[in-house]
Amino acid sequence: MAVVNLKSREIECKIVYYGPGRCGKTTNLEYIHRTYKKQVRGEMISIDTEGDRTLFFDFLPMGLGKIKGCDIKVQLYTVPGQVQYRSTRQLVLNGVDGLIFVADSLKVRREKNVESLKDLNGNLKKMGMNIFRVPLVLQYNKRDLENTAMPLMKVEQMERDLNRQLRVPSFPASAVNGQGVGATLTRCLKLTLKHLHKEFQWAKE
Amino acid sequence: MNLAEKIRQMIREAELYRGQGLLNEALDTYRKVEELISKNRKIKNRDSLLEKISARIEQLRTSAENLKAPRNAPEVSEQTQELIKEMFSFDDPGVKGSGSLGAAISLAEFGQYTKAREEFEALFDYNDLRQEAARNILHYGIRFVSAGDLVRAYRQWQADSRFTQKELEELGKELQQVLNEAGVKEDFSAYESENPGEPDFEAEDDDILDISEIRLPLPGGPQKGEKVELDINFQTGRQINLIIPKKQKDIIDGLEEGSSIEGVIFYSPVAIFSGSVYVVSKKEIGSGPKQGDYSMNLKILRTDSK
Repeated sequence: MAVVNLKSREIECKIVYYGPGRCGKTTNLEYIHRTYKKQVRGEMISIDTEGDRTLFFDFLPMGLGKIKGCDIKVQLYTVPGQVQYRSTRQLVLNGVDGLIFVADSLKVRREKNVESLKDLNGNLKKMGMNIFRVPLVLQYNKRDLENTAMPLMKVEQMERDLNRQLRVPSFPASAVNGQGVGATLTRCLKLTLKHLHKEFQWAKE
Repeated sequence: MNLAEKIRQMIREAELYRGQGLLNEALDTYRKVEELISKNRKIKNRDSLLEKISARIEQLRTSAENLKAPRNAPEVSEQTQELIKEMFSFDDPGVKGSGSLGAAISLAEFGQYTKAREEFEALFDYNDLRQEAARNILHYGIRFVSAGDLVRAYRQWQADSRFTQKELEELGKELQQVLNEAGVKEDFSAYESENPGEPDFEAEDDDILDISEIRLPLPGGPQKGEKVELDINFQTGRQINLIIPKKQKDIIDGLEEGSSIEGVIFYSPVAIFSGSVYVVSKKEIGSGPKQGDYSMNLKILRTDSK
């Protein structure tokens, strides 16, 4: 849950990267950490296991400066994607303000994408949240593999699989080289701040 | 596309999956390659290829299983522990100190039990939080420490004047429940009440040193006559509890409930001595991290200096 201090004109919100194991959530954060140095306000914290799997979460604090008279601070988190870390995902998701669902474009990961989105929906429900109402953006990652003749899903197919009902903004991306990473985050932040404005009327006209 | 080219492409695909950390997908693709090669006897160097593919499959299978295996959460840096406390704790504004309780629970949830326990124990001074903090020590503790550690913690609370009798009674029930869920059903309650069917004990509780290991001659079962060395899970006075891994079921089969065993060697940090034990109970653990293993309770009947 965002911390909105209307007296000191400060907002602190939480954005969580969700998605199946090995889809590129941590790679998104690493790219942001490397590229948006001005906005990054501290070290990126990653706790991973053997094989670079995220064990607990990754954390990256950012500051967007003043927007409509408010100082905006953002905490970016990733969840562990592996199925067995269900309870950790719930913990990290707690208090989320905006979500980026990172889907893997590899054909072999089609079912895992759907499973993970269902898992997200279930976890949000447990927290009394509705996936159709929470600020959410989809990212179709690993598009760079199109050049390797690997079996990749078409973006249209991913839209049908994941976004047919949600109808949220979606971005093709390649987190390893940064394509689409900034656009995904920017859109999620805009949706999140708009959502928070509806709730708290924080923005000065 | 000819067969050789198809195989080459499938191997490239499998290697890409491996490079992406998608070990199961790599494994599946290599299995398809293996099947394809096995079916085509005309392939040049077929046996050598199959051997290499088979080695790769084995390597991937092992790595995938290792990743799937449950592992204990690593102890993270102090900075990360502070972050966990700060980011994931919750607070009840109506209860003083509840933020600290929330922070300690967060640490425990993330597997930082040692630090969490310190924080829980620091809350024993708060009347509103003491019992809840102790309850959490038991609740999370069973995932990270032995049942014996929890029994010892409870004994310490019994001697701690900050705990009321009512709190201790409720915590005793909580401990019993936690032990039950972990499959060490009889241990705590057996300590509380005597089994009338047991023989007379020559050894007094006060006489028994802390034992870390015992050597038992097996009176029956497939390993009859052999001597096995077993670690003590926990000890309360003359009662000791052992956890026998399921792969050592032969040991369990060789020991009958209600029987006495002579010629037992007891190892304590300060002495080695011999004596006899009585098999109180043995039971398969039905749930928790040790599910499938066996819990066995022994009572020390007699000890002789050695």
